[in-house]
Amino acid sequence: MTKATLFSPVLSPILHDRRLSSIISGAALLQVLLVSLRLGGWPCPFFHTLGIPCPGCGMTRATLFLIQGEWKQAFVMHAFAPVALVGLSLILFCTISPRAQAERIADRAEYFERYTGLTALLLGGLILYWLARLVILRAAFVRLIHG
Amino acid sequence: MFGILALLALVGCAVCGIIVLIKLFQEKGVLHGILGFICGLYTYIWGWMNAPKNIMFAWTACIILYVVFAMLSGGFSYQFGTPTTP
Repeated sequence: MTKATLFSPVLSPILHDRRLSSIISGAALLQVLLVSLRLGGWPCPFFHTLGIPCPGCGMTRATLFLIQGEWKQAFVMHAFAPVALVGLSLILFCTISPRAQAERIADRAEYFERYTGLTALLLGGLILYWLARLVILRAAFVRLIHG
Repeated sequence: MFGILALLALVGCAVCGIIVLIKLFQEKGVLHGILGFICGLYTYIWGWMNAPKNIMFAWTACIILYVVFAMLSGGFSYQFGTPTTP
């Protein structure tokens, strides 16, 4: 994997694209609302066909726990929930902000991503976290996601 | 019966999701692909904006069929609630 790949921005293209960021904001809010009302939300095909939770399974519930202030429950459900919450908050903020301000934030995010490679670190870390839960605590992981 | 049909619809969702995810990897690179793997919803949204529409219509139909068959088979087989793990 080249340095250009590791330091390529992921979040800032979303922040730059107003249409995409508004769709993602709407979908995320709808997902959180459906899960909070115990109506299900987005069904994970991997979990329900293979019985294996995907790396994102439990993220919505963990985010809800975070919003409700239940930090311990949130970290038990998914340790990367704060990262998801920050990312989604940025996307939502850029969606509703005036265009000039959103562009400034997106430019700063792009500079930060290109300079630090933080996005690659977080995504890679999330995959490692998922693999660790799957390999070391599989039964408990599946039970946790099943609810 | 409806349970099996719901499972088939879910397999259809998975197949369509994998096709779009491969396209996401090819067009946007590894990091976007990993994000799509982590968050299926992002893959779905990206797919509607960039993937062939026939795949997205098939994916959407599979989701709707899954929801319908799951409800007809007696409700969703999982429920969301406060986890009881220690």
